[in-house]
Amino acid sequence: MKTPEQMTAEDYRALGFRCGLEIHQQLRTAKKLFCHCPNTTYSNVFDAELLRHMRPTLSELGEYDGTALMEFKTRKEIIYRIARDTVCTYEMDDTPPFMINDDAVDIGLEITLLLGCKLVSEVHIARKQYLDGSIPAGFQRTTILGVDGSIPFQDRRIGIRQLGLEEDACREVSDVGHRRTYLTDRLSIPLVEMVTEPEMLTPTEAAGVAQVLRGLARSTGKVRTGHGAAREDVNVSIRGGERVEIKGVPRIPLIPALTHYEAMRQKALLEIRDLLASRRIAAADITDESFDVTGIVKRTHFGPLRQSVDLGHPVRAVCLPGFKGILNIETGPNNVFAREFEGRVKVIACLDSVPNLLYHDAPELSLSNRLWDRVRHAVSASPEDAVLLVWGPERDLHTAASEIQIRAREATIGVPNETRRSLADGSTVFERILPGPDRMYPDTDHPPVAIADARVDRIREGLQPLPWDRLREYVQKGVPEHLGRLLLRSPRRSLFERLLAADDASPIVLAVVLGQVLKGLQRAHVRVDTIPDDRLAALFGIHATGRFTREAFPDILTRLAASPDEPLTALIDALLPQPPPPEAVATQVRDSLADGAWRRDGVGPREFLLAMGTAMTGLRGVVPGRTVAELVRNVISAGGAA
Amino acid sequence: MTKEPQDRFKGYRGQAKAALIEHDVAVWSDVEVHSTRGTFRGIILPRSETADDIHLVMKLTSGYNVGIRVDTIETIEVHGYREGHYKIP
Repeated sequence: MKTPEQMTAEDYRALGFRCGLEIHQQLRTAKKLFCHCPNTTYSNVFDAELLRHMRPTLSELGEYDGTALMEFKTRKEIIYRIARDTVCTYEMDDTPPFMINDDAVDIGLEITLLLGCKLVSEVHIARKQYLDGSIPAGFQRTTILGVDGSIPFQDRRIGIRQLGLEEDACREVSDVGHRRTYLTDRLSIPLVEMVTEPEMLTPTEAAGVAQVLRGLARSTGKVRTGHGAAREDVNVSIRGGERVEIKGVPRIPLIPALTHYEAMRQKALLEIRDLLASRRIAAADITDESFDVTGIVKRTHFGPLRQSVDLGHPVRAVCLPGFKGILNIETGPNNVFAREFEGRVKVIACLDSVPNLLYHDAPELSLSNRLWDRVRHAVSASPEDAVLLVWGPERDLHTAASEIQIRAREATIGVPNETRRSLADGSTVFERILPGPDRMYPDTDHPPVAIADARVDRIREGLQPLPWDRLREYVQKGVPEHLGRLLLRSPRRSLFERLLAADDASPIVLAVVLGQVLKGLQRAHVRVDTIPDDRLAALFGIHATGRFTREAFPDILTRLAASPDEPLTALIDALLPQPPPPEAVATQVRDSLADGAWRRDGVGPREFLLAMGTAMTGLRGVVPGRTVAELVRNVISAGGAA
Repeated sequence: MTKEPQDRFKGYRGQAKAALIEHDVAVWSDVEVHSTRGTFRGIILPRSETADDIHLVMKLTSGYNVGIRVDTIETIEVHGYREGHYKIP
């Protein structure tokens, strides 16, 4: 299987690769979306636990949603951990919602306008069913603020299908067997969902557009940042395949590998479909029949199966006609087609100890050949068929056998519509059947909210410049583009823009220090975020007088973070000597190199670096490196000594 | 359209009902509404009788419902008819 590095844009075009994004971005409001609980940081502390079960509801067009029915089959017990400080009876669905948070609507409308979307005139709250338990009510309150916008990307525009405003779901703690546990602090935090058209044609483009959208949301200064504040769902398809949604991608750099390997998985699934067709196997050939083979395999030495049998659980066999060899076909990095069955059995039948199934031609050791022969005989398998075994509690086992048959029938059609969970190695695992519009129904608790023209006009007047327009302005003023991109996302962006407009400081120095140096220090756990903007502005003022060079910024900022009250001039004097006059600098450089200790085998680049190191001693931070380098070159070209 | 008049405009009254009549559309019409705020494609839904009389409700293909203020509507194109039957499960 090809890796992302081995693929070109032309290769993806040949595959018919298409990708769309759903970017979820939490908003920074004081309160949650439908109640007065604080929109605050997460905590693992909880005061009580609640138990709930979920069941599906019809949409107002009178249909059930496939995902809801699938989740219903899992028969999960859902445990919610609740804390007094972060949750009230609204989130637990014990009281109706308050009116939607106006601040969240305003921020949502602002982002909708930035995306160039057409605004709706009246907001209708919908209930979107989530039977995985991630929302105690069994539904998420969600709404659309605008449709049909676009953003610039490279030399074209990417369509924005819609912008939604909705409440966030719970954080999953664990999911074992029929019990799933959630923390509820994140529940109902407002977020916007920006949905693009499927117009990204390579995995790299998908990551690029995700960056643009995240930057756009952050440019408002009104969204939450930090781990989990922005999450991406990525939709991928190839020609002949189907839309598959990779849920909850936590970091944009993961997108290229995830989308690439999903495209490769779909390619493999289409090849499997063609192979089955060439063997004349159709969906109707896969029956609902499965066989109890406990008596045959109960004395096996294969540990996982034997332990289950010893607990009194039965074993069932499923025969897949014409599937010989197909279960070993590679579908991803360290993945074969059999993993597709394993995923369904794990998620829907809740048989989550892996391995949860065995098949005859697996490369790993399992049953003895003699036992396999007896099993194959019991299910009347021909040499062209594949036989799978599953084991576990009786009720789950019927679900498991049925899911294997459903997945096998889907193999004859190609790529099933599903949502998949991302893994760190770029592969994905089955999460659930892809939901459709039938999971929506109107919220009878919340009246529609009209969006008056006056409100839209007020928000439009306060709109910040678009990030790409800001970037163009930075670059025109001499800021390198890569630093400009860093600054667009920086919490010091407004300070940077103010100082850039004042024209007192070098744009490059401003960009390097506010974009790069502060970020580097933050990574080294220096609390530069505590330094007020006015202290930073004053520091640039002193730098402009020539008191110190840009190389001294990291040391000064480190001390500034640790000594918030120390006067700036005293702080700099304590760190750095006064800069010597230019004649004295030349003398000092010549003197420092006079002993020739920097010489090695001539006067090459290595010698220059050694000489620079020697000459900078005592001058670092007060004389620009460029000035010293010039003097060092003079000394070297003059023969090496004064 | 074969529905009785009261069903054709279920829940609509005043300006909103007048707009449906003016554009010759009814509840459950599959339409494309061209308004001053943009174009919206979906099905016209019945309106809650307690809601105001200046918006019509549409279900977009994404499954979301939105309200369109009737005085922003320029034209409505009809593409078909799809009636829903809501049952309490």
